[in-house]
Amino acid sequence: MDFSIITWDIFLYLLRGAGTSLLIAVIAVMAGTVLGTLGAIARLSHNKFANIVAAIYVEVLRGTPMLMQITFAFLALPAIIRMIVGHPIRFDPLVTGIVAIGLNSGAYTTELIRSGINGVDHGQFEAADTLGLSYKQKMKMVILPQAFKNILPPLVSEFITLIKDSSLLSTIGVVELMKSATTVGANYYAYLPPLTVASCIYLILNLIISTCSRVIERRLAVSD
Amino acid sequence: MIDVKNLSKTFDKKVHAVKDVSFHVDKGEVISLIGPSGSGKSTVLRCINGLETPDEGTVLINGKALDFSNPKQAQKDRTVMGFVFQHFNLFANMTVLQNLTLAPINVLGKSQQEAEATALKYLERVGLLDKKDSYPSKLSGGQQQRVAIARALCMEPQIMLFDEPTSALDPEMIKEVLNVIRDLVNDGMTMIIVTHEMNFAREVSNRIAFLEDGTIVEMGTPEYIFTQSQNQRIQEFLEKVL
Ligand SMILES: Nc1ncnc2c1ncn2[C@@H]1O[C@H](COP(=O)(O)OP(=O)(O)OP(=O)(O)O)[C@@H](O)[C@H]1O
Ligand SMILES: [Mg+2]
Repeated sequence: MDFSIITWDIFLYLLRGAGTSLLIAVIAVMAGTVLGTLGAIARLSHNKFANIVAAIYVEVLRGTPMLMQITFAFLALPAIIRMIVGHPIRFDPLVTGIVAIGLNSGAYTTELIRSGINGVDHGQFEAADTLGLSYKQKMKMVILPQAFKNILPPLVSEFITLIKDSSLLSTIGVVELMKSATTVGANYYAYLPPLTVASCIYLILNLIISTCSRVIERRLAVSD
Repeated sequence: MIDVKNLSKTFDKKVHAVKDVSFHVDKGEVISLIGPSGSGKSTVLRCINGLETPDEGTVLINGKALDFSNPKQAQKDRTVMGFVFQHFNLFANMTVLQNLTLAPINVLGKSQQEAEATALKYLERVGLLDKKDSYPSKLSGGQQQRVAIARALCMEPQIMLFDEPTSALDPEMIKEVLNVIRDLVNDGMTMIIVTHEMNFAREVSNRIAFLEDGTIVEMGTPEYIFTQSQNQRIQEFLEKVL
C-alpha cells in the first residue's frame, strides 16, 4: 500500500470532488424538501387532481432506480426535447444530475413530510381553525414546524443518503468525490489509496452531519 | 345573539349525532349544555363555530347566517367566537406569549406591541403573567387551560364556547379554571358551556339545556332543570351525576 501518491495537490483535488458531492446533496435536499412539502400538502388535500398528480409523482420516482432516473434525464430527455424544439440541446451533467436527484428526493420527502403532518395532534389544526387562521397560515406557522420537528432524524438520514447517492452522478461525467477518486486511481494505476481516502471523506462528512443534527434536535427539544 | 335553527348532523351516514336542534341565546346569557356521553353536546357546539359542517339547519350570529363553505367568510365569522377545548390545544411549538399573539397579529392585523399588550393583560387576568415565556409542555393542565382561555380572549370575541373545559383536569386544578370562567360570567360575556360540572352549571347558567340522543329534551332555568322538571330522563341523569 503506497499512500505516497496522495500528495497535497491530489488531496485537494479529492476535497474539491467532495465539495461537489456536498453541493449536489445540499441543493438536492433543499429542492427535495420544497417539493416534498408541496407534495405532502397535495397528497393530503381534498383536491382530487393535486392528490393524483402527487401520488403518481411519488410512485414513479420511488418505483424506478435512481441510476435509471439520472441516466434517463441525461441521455433520453435531450432526445425528447430535441423532438419538441427541433434542434439539439446540450444538458449540463451537473445541473441535470442535481435536478434528477432533487426530484427523486422530493418523492421520498413527500411521504416523510406527510407522515410528519399526520403525526401532529388533530387538536392543533382545530385550534388554528377556531382562531381564524387561514389554511396557509395554519400550515406555515403551526403544523409544518411541528411536523418537521417530528421528522428531523429521517430527514437528516435522507441528506446522508443523498451525499452517498451523489456518487451516481459519476456515471454521467460529473467530477464529484467518487469520480475524482477513480480518476486519480486511473492516472497512477493505483486505486486503493484514492478510494480509501475518498471513503474516509464520505464517512467524516456524514459523521459531521449526524452530529450536527443531534445538536439541533436537542435545541428543538426545548418545547417538549 | 345566537340563533341555532333546526341543526342536524350525521356522521358516517348512520350516527345521528344531532337531530333538529334549535335554541336561542341572548346577549350576555350563559347557557350550559348537559347530558349523557354521546348525546351530541360537543357536536352542537362544534357546528356553531364551524368545526363541523351541519347537514341541515343554520346558525345565526347577530341575525346573520354563518357560511362556512366560503373559507374567507368563515375565517371572519369565527373571530366573533372564542373556542376552548377539553384538551387545551395550545400550539406546542410556541411559547405562551406567542400562542396569545399569533392570531391577533395574523388574523386581526394587530401590531406586535398591540398584540403583546393585550396578551399580557389577559395573562394577568388568568394569573399566569410569570409563564409568558414558557412552552405549553412545561405547564400544568390547569395552567394550560387558563392560557387557552386567555388565547381565545385575545381575539376579543363576543361569544365564548367551552367544550368540557375541566374534564381533562385533576380535581385540584378544576377550581382555578372555573374561577376564570366565573370571572367572565361576571363580565357579562355571552357563553355556551358544555360541562359535567353540575354545580357550576347550576351556579352560573341563565338557562340549561339537557340533551339526549341528539335532541334537546328540555331547556330551562337551573332552578327548573334541577328541581322542578318532571322529565324522568333528566331526573335519572341528575341522580347519577350529583
Ligand atoms: N367525528 C366523528 N365521527 C364519527 N362520529 C362522531 C364524530 N364526532 C362525534 N361522533 C358521534 O356523535 C355522537 C355525539 O357525539 P358528541 O361528541 O357530540 O357527544 P357529547 O355529548 O359531546 O359526548 P361526551 O360527553 O362524551 O363528550 C356520538 O355517538 C359520537 O360517537
Ligand atoms: Mg363532548
